[in-house]
Amino acid sequence: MKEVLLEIRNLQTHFKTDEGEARAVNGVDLKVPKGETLGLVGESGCGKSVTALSIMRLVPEPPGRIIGGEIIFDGQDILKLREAEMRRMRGNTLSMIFQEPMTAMNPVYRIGSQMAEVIQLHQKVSKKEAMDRALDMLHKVGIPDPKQRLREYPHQISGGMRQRVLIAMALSSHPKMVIADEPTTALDVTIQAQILDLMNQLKEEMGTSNLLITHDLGVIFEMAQWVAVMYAGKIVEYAAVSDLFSQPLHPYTTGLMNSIPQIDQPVPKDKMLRSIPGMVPSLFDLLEGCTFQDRCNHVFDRCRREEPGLADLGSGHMVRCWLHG
Amino acid sequence: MAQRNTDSLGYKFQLFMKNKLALVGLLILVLISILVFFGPSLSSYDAFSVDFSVKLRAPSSTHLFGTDNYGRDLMSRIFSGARYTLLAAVVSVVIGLTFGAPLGLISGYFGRKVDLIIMRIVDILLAFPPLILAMAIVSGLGPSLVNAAVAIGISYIPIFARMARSRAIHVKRMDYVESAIALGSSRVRIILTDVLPNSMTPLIVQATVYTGYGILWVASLSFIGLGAKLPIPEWGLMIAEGRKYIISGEWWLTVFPGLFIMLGVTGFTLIGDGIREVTNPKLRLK
Amino acid sequence: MMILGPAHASPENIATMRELMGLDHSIPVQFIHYMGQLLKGDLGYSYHAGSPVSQELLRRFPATFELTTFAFVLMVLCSLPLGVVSGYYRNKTPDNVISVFTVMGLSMPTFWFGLLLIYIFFYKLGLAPPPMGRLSPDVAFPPRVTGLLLVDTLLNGDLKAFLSAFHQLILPGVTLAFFNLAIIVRTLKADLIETLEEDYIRTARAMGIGVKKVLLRHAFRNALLPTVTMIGAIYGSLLGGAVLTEVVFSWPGVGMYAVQSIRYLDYAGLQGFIIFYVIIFALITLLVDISYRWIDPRVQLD
Repeated sequence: MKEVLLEIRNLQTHFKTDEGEARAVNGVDLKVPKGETLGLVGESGCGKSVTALSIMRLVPEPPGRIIGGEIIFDGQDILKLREAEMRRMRGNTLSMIFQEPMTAMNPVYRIGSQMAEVIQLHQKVSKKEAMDRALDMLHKVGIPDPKQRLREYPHQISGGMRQRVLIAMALSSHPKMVIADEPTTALDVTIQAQILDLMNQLKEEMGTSNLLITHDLGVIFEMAQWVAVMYAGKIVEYAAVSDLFSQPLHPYTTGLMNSIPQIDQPVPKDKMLRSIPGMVPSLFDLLEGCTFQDRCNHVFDRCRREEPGLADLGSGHMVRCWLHG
Repeated sequence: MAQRNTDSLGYKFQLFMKNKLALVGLLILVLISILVFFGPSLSSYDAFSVDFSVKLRAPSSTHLFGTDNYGRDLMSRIFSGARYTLLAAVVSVVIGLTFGAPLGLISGYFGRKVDLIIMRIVDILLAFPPLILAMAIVSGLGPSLVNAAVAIGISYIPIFARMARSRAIHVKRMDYVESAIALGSSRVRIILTDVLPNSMTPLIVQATVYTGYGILWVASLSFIGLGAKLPIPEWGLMIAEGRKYIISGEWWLTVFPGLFIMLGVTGFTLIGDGIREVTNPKLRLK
Repeated sequence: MMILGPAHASPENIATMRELMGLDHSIPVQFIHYMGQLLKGDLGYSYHAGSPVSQELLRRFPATFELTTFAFVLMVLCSLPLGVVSGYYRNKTPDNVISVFTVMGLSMPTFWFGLLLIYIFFYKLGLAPPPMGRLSPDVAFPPRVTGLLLVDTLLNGDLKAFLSAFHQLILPGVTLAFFNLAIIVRTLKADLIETLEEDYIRTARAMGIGVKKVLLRHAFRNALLPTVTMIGAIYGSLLGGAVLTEVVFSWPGVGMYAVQSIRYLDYAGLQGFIIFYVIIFALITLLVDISYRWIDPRVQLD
């Protein structure tokens, strides 16, 4: 594996609610190598987004709180930084793109002024230079007539265009790493492909690392070199993309793959698309043993007693399952 | 883990009891209710008996709240007056609710022309603060406590209509109501079985809070001479009577009735906020 | 004259009076006559004041306008910072202290609060002037230009009168502002908290913008939108509340006139007041719509 840019160890982020303490992230470990993309995949509510917000240290507090663990980014533990230091890092070396481009920009300021504000925050440039830089960036993300766009308000452009603007904004200070939380989910299918292409192309050009969060294994296959499968607040499998697709080990991963329709092959009569039986366990009081036990076809005694650790099977393929422990 | 049923009434009641401010509100309401029902018998003096030998006495152990310019015991008057102010406030909300809510539900549910006509009227009425509207109405009906309550009630109609309408529109867009429409349920039936029950909570919250404001408006109308008539110990009227004495330092005539008005309004507001918090899951996360 | 009571009036007097007041016609005729006159800007004749209603309202309006505007400015100046502090320190000490005041402000009768202020600042501390009108009795009124004493005294170069006018204005201004202040602080706080949960606030934070700057530059302006719509209604409510405040402080404005009209059963005066009120309110609503366009670029005026 290449040099590691981001490493998370045993991250725990909990939320206080009236029902009790929700362990949204309950011991996550993962690594993002320099210049590569890690795809983080899982069902909604499994803790993907909270993991991302924890890295940015933007978990809404209260009710959320990072309880423990380490997030080593570029050689230092982010969780130990003071807020002012963290602030200088956000949007600068560490940037983030969100799911909803329609609501992710402030409706009352012009696009140019929002971009320039971010640029001036991290780079010692004049307002005019910042505007020039914003123009450059809009050009880079393939926005037609960028000069005009700078003067427009967010509601005047389409969702796909807004996501491009947000990408431009996130990349404007040449970050080492970009976290993208379901960046294309809210967009039309054709636009999705364009945005993903753009992100890939910019990653190559600027040498950034990406953490791409999605529930869509297809997107991972297109975009990522590494993949982490998350379930109920934990990583259950971590592997190079090619390894994972050729040899999924965790029953949950297999389940996810079986639930993807394959367009180029007819579905055999006896092998219909299969959903994973059961429900995601409660985040409030987790079971003893493996979190996936109630939905697993291969469950045996040990799974109910002890929780499996994340075992390394060589070549960076790790899995949290007694079948492979 | 057993999933707690967060929608059950019992659970909501538990949450309500955990909310300290709401409990304070409940306590105040109980206190005020006692005054409304047993007010005159709670004090050793008669609220109406004049005794010039003890006029304008400052609060003391014999007259805890002091006496007024006729030597009447202020505490007895305030206790006896609770029913006038409170009942007028309740009557006004009942009027506002019984006329406003159906109007709003019909307007919101049927939409189109009905909605347009009803809402235009409501908008015009809403442009007046309740006090001004009530002034206009009372001047037509003639000043009395009952008319003040009616006037405030009328000024509440558009407020409740607005609320009911927005609920009706909200509920109408719900999937289960749309499917009920698709299955051919009659409109009246849908309003009664789906729209009304789903509009109850916000309407109850609003009714509670506006009972509190009703106390304020009743007192205000009485203060400017459009409400209760002498010698009724209505709280706002008592302040109007005490007003002349404030610049010569006899503060108790004014201060005590005002404190009870505040107490009443606060009680209803706190309970309203409490119910709102308990029934709105969005506000529940702490 | 009628008000003095029928005992003092001879039948001839009453008949003349009825004719003079137009009461010898049927009610529909009276109504049509009134509406006709209304179109010409004539609101009828006020018998208790002994002058045409429109003239009386116009003469008195500056007093009300000065009071409400002063209260309005006071209210905006205090409520915006308080709302922001309250939203920022949500559920912490500053917010709790402010909340106690807003709850009190909302549950206090305006007139009672005014009377308390009079007791404390006039009777006890002797800081405030007696609650009687717009100028201290030993100060001469300036020649009328705008009718606003703060302006007219300055135009007249009479600093002593200006200070007296200002002095007289403080207590009624605070009284009138308090209730509505509480409403604005509460709304602004709620809107701010809601705005702080918007996606674009998260974006701004993720781009490295600090909490305070996000609050003041990004959240405040968006949170202000609902508050601004309310400000129109609030000005209306100030005009309504002015009725009570004017009575408490013997302030010779239109609200006081309305209350006097009620006392003398002089309906022309009261109706005039209400029509006048509607016109003012319509103007304010228009102004608010225009300012909305300035704050929110998404709003297009046709």
